[in-house]
Amino acid sequence: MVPAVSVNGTSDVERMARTARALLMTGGLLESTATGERLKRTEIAQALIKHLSAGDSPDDRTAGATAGTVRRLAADQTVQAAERALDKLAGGASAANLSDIEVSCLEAIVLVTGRPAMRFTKGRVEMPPDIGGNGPWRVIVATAQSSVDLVASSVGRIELHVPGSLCEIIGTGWRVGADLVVTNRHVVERLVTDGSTQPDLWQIDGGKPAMIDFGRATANERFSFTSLAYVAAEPSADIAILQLHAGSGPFPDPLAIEWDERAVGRTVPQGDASVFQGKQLYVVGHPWRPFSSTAVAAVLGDADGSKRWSPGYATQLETSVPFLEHDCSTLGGSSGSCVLRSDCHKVVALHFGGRGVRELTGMGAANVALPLSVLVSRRVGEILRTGHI
Amino acid sequence: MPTFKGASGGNPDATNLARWFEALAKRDPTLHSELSNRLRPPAAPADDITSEATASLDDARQVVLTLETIVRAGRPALFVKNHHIVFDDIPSDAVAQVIIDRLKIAAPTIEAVLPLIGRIDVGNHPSALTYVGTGWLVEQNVVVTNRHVAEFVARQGGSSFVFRAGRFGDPLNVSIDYRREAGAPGKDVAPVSGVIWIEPDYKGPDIAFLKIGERQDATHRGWIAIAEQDAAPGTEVVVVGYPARAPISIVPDQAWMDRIYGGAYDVKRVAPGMVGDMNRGWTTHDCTTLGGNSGSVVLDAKTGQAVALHFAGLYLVENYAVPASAIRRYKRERPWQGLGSSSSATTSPEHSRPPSSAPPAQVKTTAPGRVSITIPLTITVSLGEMGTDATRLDSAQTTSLDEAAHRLFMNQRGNGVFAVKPGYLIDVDRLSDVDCLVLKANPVRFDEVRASAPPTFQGYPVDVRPASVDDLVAISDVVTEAVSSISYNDGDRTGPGFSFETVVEKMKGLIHVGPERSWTVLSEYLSGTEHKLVASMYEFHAKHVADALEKELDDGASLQLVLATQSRDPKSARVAAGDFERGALFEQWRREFGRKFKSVFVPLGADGLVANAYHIKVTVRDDRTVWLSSGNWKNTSQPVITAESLNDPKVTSRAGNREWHVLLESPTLAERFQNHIMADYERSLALGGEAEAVEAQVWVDVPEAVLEGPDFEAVATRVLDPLPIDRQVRVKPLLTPDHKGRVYSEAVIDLIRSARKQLLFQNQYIKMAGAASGFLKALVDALVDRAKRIDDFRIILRSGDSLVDDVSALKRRGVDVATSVRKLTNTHTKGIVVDGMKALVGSHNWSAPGVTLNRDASLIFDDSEIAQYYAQAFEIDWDRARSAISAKETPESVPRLASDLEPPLGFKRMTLSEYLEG
Repeated sequence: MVPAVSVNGTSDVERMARTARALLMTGGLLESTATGERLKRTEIAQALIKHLSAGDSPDDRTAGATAGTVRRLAADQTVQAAERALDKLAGGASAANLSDIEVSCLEAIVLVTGRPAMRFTKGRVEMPPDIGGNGPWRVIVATAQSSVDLVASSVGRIELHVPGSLCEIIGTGWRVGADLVVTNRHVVERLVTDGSTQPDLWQIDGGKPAMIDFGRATANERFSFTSLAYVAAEPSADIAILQLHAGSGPFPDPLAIEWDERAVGRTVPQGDASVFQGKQLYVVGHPWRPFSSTAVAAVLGDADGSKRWSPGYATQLETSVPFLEHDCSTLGGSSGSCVLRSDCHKVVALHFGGRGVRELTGMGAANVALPLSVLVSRRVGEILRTGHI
Repeated sequence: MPTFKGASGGNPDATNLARWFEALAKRDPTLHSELSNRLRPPAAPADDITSEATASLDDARQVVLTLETIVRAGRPALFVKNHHIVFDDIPSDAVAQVIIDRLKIAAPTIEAVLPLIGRIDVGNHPSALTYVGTGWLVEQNVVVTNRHVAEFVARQGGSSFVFRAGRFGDPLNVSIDYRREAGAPGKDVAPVSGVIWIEPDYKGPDIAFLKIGERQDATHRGWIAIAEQDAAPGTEVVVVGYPARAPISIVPDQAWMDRIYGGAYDVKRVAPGMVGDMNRGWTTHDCTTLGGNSGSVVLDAKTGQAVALHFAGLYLVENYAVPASAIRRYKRERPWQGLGSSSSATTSPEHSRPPSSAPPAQVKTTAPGRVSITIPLTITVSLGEMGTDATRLDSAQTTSLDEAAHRLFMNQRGNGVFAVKPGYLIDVDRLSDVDCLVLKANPVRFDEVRASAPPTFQGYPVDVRPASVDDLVAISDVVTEAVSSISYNDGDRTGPGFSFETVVEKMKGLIHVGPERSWTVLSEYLSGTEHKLVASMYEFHAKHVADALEKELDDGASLQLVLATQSRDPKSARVAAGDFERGALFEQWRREFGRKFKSVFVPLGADGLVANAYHIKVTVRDDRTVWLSSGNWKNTSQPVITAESLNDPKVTSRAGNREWHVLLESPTLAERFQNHIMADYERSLALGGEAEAVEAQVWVDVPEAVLEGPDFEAVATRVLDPLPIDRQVRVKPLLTPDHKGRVYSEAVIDLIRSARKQLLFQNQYIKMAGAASGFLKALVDALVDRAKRIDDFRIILRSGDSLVDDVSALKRRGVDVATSVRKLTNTHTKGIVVDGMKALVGSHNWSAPGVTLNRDASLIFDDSEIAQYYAQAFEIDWDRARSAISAKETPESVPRLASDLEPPLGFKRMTLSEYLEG
């Protein structure tokens, strides 16, 4: 059992619970009864089981009778815990009264009922289950799968291959321009000789050889880097650009960038206040985070570093700080992922972290990305626009 | 016996059940007597039934149910468990005691061979099929099944047979499981390592041989012996196989099917029955089967020997099987031999398919009284439909005229006789009321056939007429049943974005018709593009349409095209005047416009998106505005009419096809159609839609007089201007193959049934040959029913070489065709107007695949202004349309399959689809 850890950011948890409730309502999975609200347990449990077994190899799926039983139990317990959590909150309890596992269970519900993180099979994104608020995402996969797949083929996993050690996944990068890869500064920090110095002094450490693996079905999908082309110095811009080493095969296609800040949504007046109406977005990245607890892993599945497609909405845009908030499920460890608009498949932001992130799961109530539109007039913007250093 | 009536939509209908039951009295008096005791008369005496409509329906329904129950008791399909027939837990009234007693006696014999019969399973199939049929050991490590089963997993590749590609190009995983029993989880699997032989001749037996690897337990158990003699009529048999749930497009009454099979499918069953008379060289039987039984063994219940290989059927009416003698012949002659039969994928140079350059309709006599006909067509296996009247053998249903037609055909078949159909003598320009036998002759050998045909047969006059293209195609077709379905992804298309619910919203646009306003409206529509066009199109040939699209691409718009293979450049590489070179231009667009231009050709067949035609014509502009039509982007459907002639009906009505079009700004309709078209694009890519079309084109030589038809047609009296719309409209979108045709068929049946005073129907054709079952039957039933009930019922059809057959079939169904059916040569619209209140407009032709498994789009407007607009178009056409029957067709007036290098003088060569589409 997971030790009870006090949950920080109570309001974020409440917000996440509200999201969960809204998604359940959309899909008709929450029924009002005389005694309170009841979840449609069977449907949700089935979706959870599917989610949990999605990463299995085909052999596991047929042979793993025991694994199947474990998952069925885990799914049932997840649904019950989530139901309990929703009951508590509906009864006026504060989010602080929720156990940590209850919060994780709500997160799992969000993940399968409306903010999925779909895997790719042989380079093709999988169809989200027909449950909850997944409808819009199912339409995207049904009508634009080849565009999503094409984007995803330009997104790779950055691995650190220190001789004598196991390969370590340190983040995600995506191709732009002639031979460039965009990722976070805090990812590149792992590759340089001395990360404590000014970023503009950073040098790639020859003793920390890194590769990017685009995970394409064809061979030659891995490339090393020749140099660190750019690192942003200002704290608020967590961005760096690496230059690819020409390998034996062609690079994947460069991604197109949308520079118009209105592309992610706009603020509209609503009564006295104003609200932000965000567009549909999706994140492609390689979330990797060994969960600190098997109980959590049993609920959320593994973030095993394989490629994921996570659709959602832009929820807030702040250009002065700057950040773009979105609610796509990034599962933690998605540093360097690209955030795209789902209708034109152009990059609008660089994912770098979360707000209200819980230590236990690495998931947060809101994810934060660097909107690229704010960079347009800076040097990094020029590099991204021209495709050259 | 009570009188059986009603039962419309019942499946099979009461007549079939009753006739089978009557025949049983002679064939199996013991069973008949037991079943008779179970038959209780209905609550009301039959004579009173007609007095009150609803009561009669209920009572008739009751009669059918009662009858069905006793038939089921006589022809059950019993489960197998651990290789034993399951006799326990059978409800006392479910199976006749006589049957149980007999089966118990036969059980030791039958059960000895049950472990030799298996289900042919497939993993990784692109259409997500899990199994394709039944097979059984006929030699050590050799399993026999049907050709149409083997073709799901294999094809001829060079001189040998190779497995088809599986999902995402991965290998298929084919195996046979000798268990797959209800309530017994055990497996007994052996891999299918190769295909030894698939009979290439579609007139020949539906047979194939598979090579089997070792069983998991590496044991051998022998094989099933083939009977020395073909089974005599009356032989008691059992069919052992794996009946699969049939889709609604094949068995509309799904509840009936579930009653028969208790809702359990895909498991081993033993179905007892009796052999009937030989038919066309096939063994027949009356055991209960479904698709999935394809490849089942027909066992003699007394000897346990195989008397036949089941391949097709219709419940109770007739089931067909390859007789023992034919199977023995393969075992003896081994057509695959000498080709390294030890290898897993064996080869067949000696008996390869006829080369595609072979002249068509070769008719040669191979043995006295036996004739084989080879027609170099690619025939798509029909999905369980009974064939044309000519090949219809359901003696239970035939009237004496049908019987005579059947006998005459058996008597005259071959030697240029393609079919004999019941019909009416033609009296100058109308059908007389005199029944006759219409003998359909190969047009090329017409005089010869007419000289040798008898003037009368069994009292009916014989009228020799040139065969239609349908007849030519049908003659080489075989009625089959299979676990078949297309690889359309209904399951991915859920939710409001793909919905077929009625849309009620403010819409703005133009309701219009062609030829007069086809291009003026479409060209304006295309030039109004701001950023995006998403289009689906059957035939995109016209250069002026391509030019208009190119202009939009030049202006920065994106274009996504989903096209039928019919939009490819013709194989002859001859681009017609006014057309453009599709391959070259699309390639150029791809180069110039990059990802702004996308196109795909939709794959067809079991592994395809649709059965045989991506026939839709819908475009969506800027996510808002829908253009939907009956017409293609061809010069016939989108003729360019000079400005000064636009208001001259003499010019406009001869410029091209009569089409009904819709142009509406409606975000909801636009979203739904666009989602479906884009999903078609994605699904086609996933199914390998970029690949070259596999099917060979069928070429026909068409008389120039037929092609010039519109010039001889009376001109329209006026030009119909578009109807502008800018208000709330109620409209229901319909697409096939969604839910296998259910979306379209159910809505249109409701529309037809709603007619109270007037029903106007205009379509290219109603293919009555395909109306024996399925949704087309239900649609035609509804139409015929209205024809008899309402005052103003009128049909306009396009003239075509099967029109006389179709009109005759309508007359035989009771439609007063002399007053209510006319023909208009350039009709290409597919519409219905009901009571001036509702209108159907779209691209759905009335053929069996046209209303089920092809891609088509239509709209039903619940809007009197729009309905009356289309009614006006109909009236203009009705006034100039002619009697559906004209002077008799001559061999020179009908199309023929292309044979020589050049078409005969006065004929023009074109593909079959071009001819059918006009």
